[in-house]
Amino acid sequence: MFTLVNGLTTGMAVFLVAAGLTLVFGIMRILNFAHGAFFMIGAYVASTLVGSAPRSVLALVAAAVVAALVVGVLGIVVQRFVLRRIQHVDEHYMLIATFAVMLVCVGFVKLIWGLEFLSVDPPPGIDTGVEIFSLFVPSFSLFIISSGVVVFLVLDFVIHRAWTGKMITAIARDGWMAELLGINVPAGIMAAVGGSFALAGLAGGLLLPNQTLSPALGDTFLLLAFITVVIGGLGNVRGAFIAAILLGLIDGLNTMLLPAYPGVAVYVGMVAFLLLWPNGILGESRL
Amino acid sequence: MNRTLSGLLLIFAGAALVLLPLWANSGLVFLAGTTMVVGVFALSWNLLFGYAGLASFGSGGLFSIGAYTMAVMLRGGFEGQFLLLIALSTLAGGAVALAIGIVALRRSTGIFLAILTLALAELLRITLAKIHWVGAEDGIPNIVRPNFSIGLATVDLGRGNHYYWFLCIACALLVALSWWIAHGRFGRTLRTIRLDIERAAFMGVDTHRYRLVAFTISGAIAACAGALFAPWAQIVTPDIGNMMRSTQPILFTLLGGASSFWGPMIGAFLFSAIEFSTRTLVGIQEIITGSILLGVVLLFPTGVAGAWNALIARLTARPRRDEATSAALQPVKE
Amino acid sequence: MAMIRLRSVDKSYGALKVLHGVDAEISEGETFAIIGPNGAGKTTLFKVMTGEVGCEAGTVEFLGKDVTRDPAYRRTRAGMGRTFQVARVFKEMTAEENVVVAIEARLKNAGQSDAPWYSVKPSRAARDEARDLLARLSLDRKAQMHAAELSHGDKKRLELGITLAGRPKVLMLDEPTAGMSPSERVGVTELIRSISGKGSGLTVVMTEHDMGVIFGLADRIMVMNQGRKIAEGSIDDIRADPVVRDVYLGKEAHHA
Repeated sequence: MFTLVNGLTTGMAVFLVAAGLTLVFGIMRILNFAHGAFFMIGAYVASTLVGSAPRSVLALVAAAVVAALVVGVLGIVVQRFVLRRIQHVDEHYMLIATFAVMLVCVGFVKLIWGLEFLSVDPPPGIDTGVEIFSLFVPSFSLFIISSGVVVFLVLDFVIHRAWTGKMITAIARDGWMAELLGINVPAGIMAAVGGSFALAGLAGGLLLPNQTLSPALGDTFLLLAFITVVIGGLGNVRGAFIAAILLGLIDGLNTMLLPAYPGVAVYVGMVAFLLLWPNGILGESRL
Repeated sequence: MNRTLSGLLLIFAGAALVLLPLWANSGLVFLAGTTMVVGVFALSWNLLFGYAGLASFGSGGLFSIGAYTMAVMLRGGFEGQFLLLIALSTLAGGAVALAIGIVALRRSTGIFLAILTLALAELLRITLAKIHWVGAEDGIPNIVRPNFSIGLATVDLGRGNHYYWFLCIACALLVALSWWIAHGRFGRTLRTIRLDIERAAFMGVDTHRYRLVAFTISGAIAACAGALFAPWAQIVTPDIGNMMRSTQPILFTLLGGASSFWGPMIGAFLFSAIEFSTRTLVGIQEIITGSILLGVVLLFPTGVAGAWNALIARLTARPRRDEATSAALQPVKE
Repeated sequence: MAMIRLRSVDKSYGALKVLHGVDAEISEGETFAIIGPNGAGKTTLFKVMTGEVGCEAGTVEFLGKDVTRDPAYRRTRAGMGRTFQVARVFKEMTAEENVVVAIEARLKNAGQSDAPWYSVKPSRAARDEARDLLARLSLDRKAQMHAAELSHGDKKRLELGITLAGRPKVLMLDEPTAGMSPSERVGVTELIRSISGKGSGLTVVMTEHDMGVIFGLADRIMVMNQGRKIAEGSIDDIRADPVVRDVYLGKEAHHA
């Protein structure tokens, strides 16, 4: 049970990061190396706003939203000056360009916030634990799990039910046709990409407590998010959600059964997955 | 003209490298040696990317295998057989690459191969960090630079700049080997696979087999570079094969130009030069490196070597244009 | 002797069945054309023969051997050469290099590679053969041009050169005149005729839309419609066939 909660916490944390990554891929067909860096910027922005001891859950969420806005705006800038230009080149050059963006981001983070590690405590209200079925569960875990689920539900609604989703889908599938139908394609893409980046910023803010902030923060989450996105099927938000849960559970089991080798099972599972289902659980999707 | 000019540049650069310890300080010499090794490492990667059309994002893992094999054996007291140790490390890398290739290449290419190799390298890194026999997180320190003997002559590589000159020779041999592989029939066939794999298959080429062999050779050379690096750095840690290491050859290759054999080497030295000149500026370094990379990708997608060739072509355009016009006129005459 | 024999070949793409029990037999030395309206399954049948796609049921025999499960490169080595609808050449290489790599592949597979192991250059014999071949295709003046710079028609010729460099026993041409002007069509028809003339012993299998090209080249024609073979025979047989008139030539007649 404890394993389950821990696993779900990891899974949802990774999903929060992976959601924006898979969305950008769905819209632009670009696997964004810089995503981890934007996640990190979100975390730094939020930490500047709340300090090392946030006063309430609300303050933390508010800071995360501000971080999301800041990163969203940055995302639009990046989309305007970089992503849009590399959309039709070889996929390897896309990776390299986004990698360059990542370097620039890391550089700015070092310039602005320095090299020291920062840490933030969970705000009062979610800094202890609750007892569920005679089991002690850290309430911060519950906070992350519920954040993940809420973000997923909102995204799923936006993509699959609302008119916005229909519009984004139309743009992603056939930009020319969408333009013919009177959709403002550049604006639509910009909004969607901005939103995806904002998700990275939001994730940075929400996951802030209990993290050690350093300029290398982006790397760890980026790799796990990559794995999730690929296993879930590139561009597929539902797939990423399922993959993130799976990944969390595998990691949870790993911690329980093989405590001496943390993190190993995730990669083993990942390798096995790629060999068995090279197209991901739910298949690739253009959204 | 293009050839002679490029050849002269190559000789000049080689001579400058060999003579470097005579005037530069030890920090610069260390950087030059490291750059040579990672340059060779990048060449091995581009053998796969620029010729066979496969992008591995886990080449750092193979570099790490070579370095660890060397470090463990030197610690085990086999330093008398340095040449044999290099061969063994190289074989180890080749064998691992072959095994991965057999399982992975038939199923996945493109982004999937990229992510798969990335995951395998990361798996190796975190496993190494947990094994106490190889020093876990701390790695293996104090690696000796052994004696090197051919026949009767013995050179103590631990003294002065001997190991640096040894690196110069070893890297030159590896570059020559790569050049030979890339420019021979094997390399030509690989190029056809990258350009159009189906067309190559319909020439009777067993494309899967060629890619597998290329994957193995590339892995072996990467491991060899790692094996040369271990006594140079005198310490190996799990981070020797981290994600940054795996992306190094990609950056060098794209900066220098993937379509040129020398691209990765040029990229390695340019990158080192940028890093060296901005080493005191925290943060600015990444910004400058990133901006240059972005500029290259957005403005010169063929890399520095491609830009160089274009420049040469423009300088020598006159005679060529005449040739082209006469060629275009011929059919009309007939 | 039958060069290629198909026995009741079935092929589906997902739920869509595109070939229904197709039989065919192509004999040595003949020029065999597969025709039919768009979506009739000609190209799929062609791909099943070359090994580009597999089939769910039935067998493909080449030179009396079952090759149904053989990948494309094995069939190519056994003597099946092909071109693509849209010419596929190695764009970053010169025209000569394009042909040289194909010759080298053939020599290597036959164990006749005569370049020394240490040599990086192709052997003199391979280069001479490439020049001769390019001359036959009237591409000798463009041998040093990059394939990307060649015109559409020259690319088609070059691709034919790559295929001929493999010295095939059967030449498989997928729409050899697709996208060409009428005058280019005449040129390509002449070229194919000169390559596959009676003395050459070369067997040709082609799919084609243009009736002029087919009537100028084919010894025997197979007509397909909706994934089935509906007729087979000489040009005159096909012309006289009422079923074919209905589904295919009927439309042509209106044009004429």
